[in-house]
Amino acid sequence: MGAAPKQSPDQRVAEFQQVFARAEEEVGKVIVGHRDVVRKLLTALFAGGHILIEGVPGLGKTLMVKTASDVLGLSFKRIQFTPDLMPADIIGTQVLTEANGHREFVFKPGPIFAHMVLGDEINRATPKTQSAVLEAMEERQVTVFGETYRLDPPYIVLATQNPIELEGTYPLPEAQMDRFLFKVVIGSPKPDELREIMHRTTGAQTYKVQPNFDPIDAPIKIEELKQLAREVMVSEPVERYIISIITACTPGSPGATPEITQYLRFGPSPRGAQALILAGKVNALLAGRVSVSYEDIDDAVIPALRHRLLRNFQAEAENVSTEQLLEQVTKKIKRPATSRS
Amino acid sequence: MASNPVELISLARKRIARIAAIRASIYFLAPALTAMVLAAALPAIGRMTWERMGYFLPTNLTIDARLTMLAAAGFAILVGAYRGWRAYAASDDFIGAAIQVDEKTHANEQVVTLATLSNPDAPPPSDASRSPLFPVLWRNVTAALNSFNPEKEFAVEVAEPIRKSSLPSAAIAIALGLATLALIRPPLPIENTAMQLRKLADRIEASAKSPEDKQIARKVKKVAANLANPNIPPEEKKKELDQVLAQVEKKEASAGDQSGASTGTSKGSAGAGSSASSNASGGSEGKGESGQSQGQGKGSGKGEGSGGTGSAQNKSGGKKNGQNNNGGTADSIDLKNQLAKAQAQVQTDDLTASPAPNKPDPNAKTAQAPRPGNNPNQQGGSSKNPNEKGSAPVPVPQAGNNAGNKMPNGQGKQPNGGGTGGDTHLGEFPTAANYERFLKPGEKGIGLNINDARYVVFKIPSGAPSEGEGKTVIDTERPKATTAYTNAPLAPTADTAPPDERQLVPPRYRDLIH
Repeated sequence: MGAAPKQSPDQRVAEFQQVFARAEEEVGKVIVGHRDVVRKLLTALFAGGHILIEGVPGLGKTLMVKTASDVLGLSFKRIQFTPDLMPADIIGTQVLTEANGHREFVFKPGPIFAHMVLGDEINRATPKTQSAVLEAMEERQVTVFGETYRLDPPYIVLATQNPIELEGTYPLPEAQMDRFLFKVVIGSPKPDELREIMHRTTGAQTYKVQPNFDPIDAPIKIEELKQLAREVMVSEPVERYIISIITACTPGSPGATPEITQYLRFGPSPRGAQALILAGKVNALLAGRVSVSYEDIDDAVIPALRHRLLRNFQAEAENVSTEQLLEQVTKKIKRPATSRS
Repeated sequence: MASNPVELISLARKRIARIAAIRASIYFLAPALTAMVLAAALPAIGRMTWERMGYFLPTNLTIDARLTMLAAAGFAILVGAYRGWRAYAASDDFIGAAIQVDEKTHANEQVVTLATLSNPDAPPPSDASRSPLFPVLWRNVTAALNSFNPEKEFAVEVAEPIRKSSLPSAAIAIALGLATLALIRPPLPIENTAMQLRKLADRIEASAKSPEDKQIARKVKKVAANLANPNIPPEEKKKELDQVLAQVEKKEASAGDQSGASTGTSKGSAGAGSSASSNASGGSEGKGESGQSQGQGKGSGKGEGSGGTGSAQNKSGGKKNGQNNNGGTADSIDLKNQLAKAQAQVQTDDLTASPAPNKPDPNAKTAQAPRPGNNPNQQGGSSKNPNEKGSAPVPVPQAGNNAGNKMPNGQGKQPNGGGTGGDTHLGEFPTAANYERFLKPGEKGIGLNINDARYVVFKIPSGAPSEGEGKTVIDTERPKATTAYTNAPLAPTADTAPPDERQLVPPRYRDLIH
């Protein structure tokens, strides 16, 4: 981490809000609608997590990520996952080169070496290739031929997957799904939004976004803002509220609701609780507060936990979604009234 | 008002804890008050309810019931105090108070977060560093609590706990009421007398004109209460009755002395007889159904009543010369009558309770059969053996002897004027004597006047031998059977025809068929 910020806490909070709002605004100039998805994308970025975007083709997923990277002044790489994609194609490999009469292996970084990496249709790659991304996502480093290469912060993987055309795909295993902070679902645009999309994409006018930061300073500034988000305080009752949510979503646990026990095989891991707190902290900063409230947590429950719940056969047969289960849980859980409850 | 948010939260914490304790205690206070009010008002409730319907709650049971109610009230108070203490301990929570303050100020958990980081009950470890954003939080919370007043925000609201406690209060009232109803019963004669005495005492107390009257009323009440208490020995009851009676008579005498000379002439329907007043210088005499009596006292008065009509014209001495005394009021007469009746009943109870020699011993295998008295006409008190049946040391009242001898001065007439109808309770109730006389089979006995008897016991002799000589009479007119009959078995029938249908034997019977 860099040097201590020279600004006052109030200025830092104000800067965070300003950067976030401008990023939303600039992305909104290119992407019509999907403001909630954009907000979740930026939240995941400042919370230091990765995001899995699910939606049918043609909804502007790639454009959204590319625009966000442009706005924030971060480097961007895109990987199209296919069944024949190999791990080396992502991570990079040693290439034999000749220089000054000597031949030597030189590491050629793959597309994973960028601040923002878009893994398009990640479920089309084989598990071997998918797992190559795991180390990069979690450890922020890759290892090639015994050599470990760090990935420059900030680092965020944005993976997309297509909910249709599932033939020949390899669904992400639970362990890999758990590494994403959020899973957001992009829906079809509304009629007004669709009209606006037509105007913007078929006309002669081009939309150019204004970057928030200078590309050289951007990584440092964003890391400072990420650090600010980590400094947001959480009260004991809010922590217990998060724990009660996680417990209620774990089938077989004492606090589990009957629906959870009926329809789930596995509940969220501790990463789920971490995701709730980090997302809650960013939400609190966006609201101008330096402490997390219950509403901040409630806002993050579904995107942070929907991909961490493993439904059983009955739930799939009855078409009970994890979103429905999470909504029931948040309605049933009572907020702590005392420190002894 | 404190400007420090932590101090404000601490103030709110104490306030919330006190309110919780009060609310928890109130929940049990209402049932306790209900039980206490029931205990205090039990006699009044009894007078208004079951005593009007002719039922009675004995004094000892009344005391027990009231003690039970007070114990229930005490228990409820103890439980309320305990629950209040528990509620105080449970609500004495810094974070909990911060949560409530946060809700009141809509601070979005900023107050709670500050309380978590500044909790005096759980201070953070010394090596723990606060967030750099803590000053921002402190400033935000201070601004949010700028106009916060715990005294106003957390008011004591007792309506809800009282409303909630109405159910247990009603349950306690119903339970205690049902338990009390289970204890009431029709009064015994002595209890009836006690009730009458108490009513009289109330009346006297209400119309008391002197402290002496009130004192008498209080004593009568006490006597009435003790009279119905079976735990008090009869000797003590008799002693108290004598004392009260003596006080009443003394008061009458003194009132008579102070009221000057008075003469009274009254016509009454008391039973025929004559009596001489023992405590007044006057005398009275009556004869026949409408006997006349004349009293010669120091004062002069005239009383007149019409027998049988129930109207009394001389309740306060009849036609008096304006110098009547309190001793001559109807209440006083009633009081003396009731006291006399009570004396007689106490004595009767005492005799009933004392073992009689002829009473068969239930444990003895060879009990002596009860035997009648030697002389059916024997009067009480004439026997030398006081324990022998029929030997109560009380003279049998002679008609007209005692009817009016206890009448006050100038009172030759019964105050109610309704005639006695043979009631000898005037003045002095005859103490119980052994009136049971059984005649042997065939014994004629002498004529027994039972006009004045309260009840007569008849004993039907068992196994009385026949004195006549019978003879056997053959009844030839009895109906006889006309059809021949026999009890010989019928001859077996040989049915060789095959059955109409074949039916399988149920499996459970197949083993039985060989």
